[in-house]
Amino acid sequence: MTDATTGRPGSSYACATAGFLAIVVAWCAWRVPAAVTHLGDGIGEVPVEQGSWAGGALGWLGVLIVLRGGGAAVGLALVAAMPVTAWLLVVWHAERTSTAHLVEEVLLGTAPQLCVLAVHRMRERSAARRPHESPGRELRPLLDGIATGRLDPGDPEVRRRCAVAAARVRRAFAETDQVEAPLLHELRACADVAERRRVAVDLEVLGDLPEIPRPVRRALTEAPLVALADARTHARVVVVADERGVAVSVVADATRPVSPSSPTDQVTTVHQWEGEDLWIHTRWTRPSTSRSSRTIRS
Amino acid sequence: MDETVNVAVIEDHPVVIEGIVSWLEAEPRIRVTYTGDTTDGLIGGAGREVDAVLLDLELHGHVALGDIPRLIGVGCRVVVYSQHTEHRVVRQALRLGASDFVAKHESKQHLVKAVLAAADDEVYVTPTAAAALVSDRDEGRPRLSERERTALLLWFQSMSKSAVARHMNVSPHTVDMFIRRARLKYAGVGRAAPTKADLLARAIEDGMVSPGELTTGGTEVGLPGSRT
Repeated sequence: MTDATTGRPGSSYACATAGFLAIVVAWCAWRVPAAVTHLGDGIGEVPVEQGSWAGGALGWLGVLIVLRGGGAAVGLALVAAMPVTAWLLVVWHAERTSTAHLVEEVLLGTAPQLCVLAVHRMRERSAARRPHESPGRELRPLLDGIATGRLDPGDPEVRRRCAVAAARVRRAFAETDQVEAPLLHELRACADVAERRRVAVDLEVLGDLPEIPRPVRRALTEAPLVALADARTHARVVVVADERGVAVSVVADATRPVSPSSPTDQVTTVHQWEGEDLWIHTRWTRPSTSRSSRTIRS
Repeated sequence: MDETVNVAVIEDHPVVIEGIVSWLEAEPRIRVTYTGDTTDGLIGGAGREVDAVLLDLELHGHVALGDIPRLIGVGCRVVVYSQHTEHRVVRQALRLGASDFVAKHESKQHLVKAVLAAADDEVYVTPTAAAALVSDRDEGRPRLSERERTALLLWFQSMSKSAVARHMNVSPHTVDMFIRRARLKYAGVGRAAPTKADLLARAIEDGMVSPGELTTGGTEVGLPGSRT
């Protein structure tokens, strides 16, 4: 798994695991001899309060392991933490408190970690609904590179990346507008970015557009967006809707092949070159008429 | 079919006439022999001297659909050239007997091919006309086959017939056939016109369709001239 914040695979996971194990070992080295010494005198006399700090520390590192590691890593962490868990049970037994009190303690102790896990899971799910990267994620390194001089604004490749990023930002803004035909609104936003580069864009529509879910619209507009960003002087965008689905086509004098977009269950993208002209054709087949009714995955 | 084609251009903007003439005359076979901002002169007799008329639909603020049958009445082949590309308007122009409909945003290549095909009584379908045919929901519309519909739709969306052919996994010739046959089915609907009869006669002569094949899906596509 890639660490989203640093871009390095699993660095935070490795640190968390090392820290987790270090705490378990240190805790055992410190607590187990004392426990053994005191065992002969009876559990009730063990100075239990001195061992409970490990629970909280392990909990937070455990969160990182859950976030970054797989199921096996989480299982190993639970096994490694068993001495600490056993100690907590001993404390509970020694203090002769009720089961309800134990449950309350456990819930109170783990609530912050569980909240963090829940929020993270929600963010992941909402990111999974977006088939393509959020524009901000693409924009930040680009702006950073230009600001620090690492990227040359005169470089055609940099300009192209900027055009694509600008179109994605415009599309993201357009997505939040309340309009009758969001697909056309979003395509117009992409066309507008191209027109600012003096590309002549025609947009034609055939048929009545059905309601199209946002992830499908993103998948439908992704390749056309890149083709429009690549167009040199002219582009023709055609939207065709019928009872079976919706197709978006772009014919443009593009400069380079369009990078393949994320495949989805219901949206297909094909492209053809003829001389200088590129034809991009994306098509969404409506679920009721497709063989499968699964939803789009990222 | 290599003889010179005499073309009339009816358009109310001089600068557009200049543009059209330069586009058309870049094709060696075409000579623009008549220009004007109304159809009166052509209907009055000059129409007999030209092989095809390129007609702007909006002349001095008035939509000239009614001029199409009048021009055809004096033997003109009419290609409509307009920015009014609503599918209903395009179909109406074709039903009235226009050979083809070229949108003003369409390329020189479509304009030249449409004019030459009209003069030769052959079939050319611009992407704009293809979209108008395939979007027809009228009761009495001819029934197009699935592949004819697909070919028309892809022709509207793509840049060339060979691109459509690759997409449909057939030859460009087959794509052209689907598109022309769809157009021929439309030659049988709407107002009877000698241009439509000539179009169908030429198609049959070329072996593209047989008279029997033109009776399709309950819509009789007969020679308009044979109707009473």
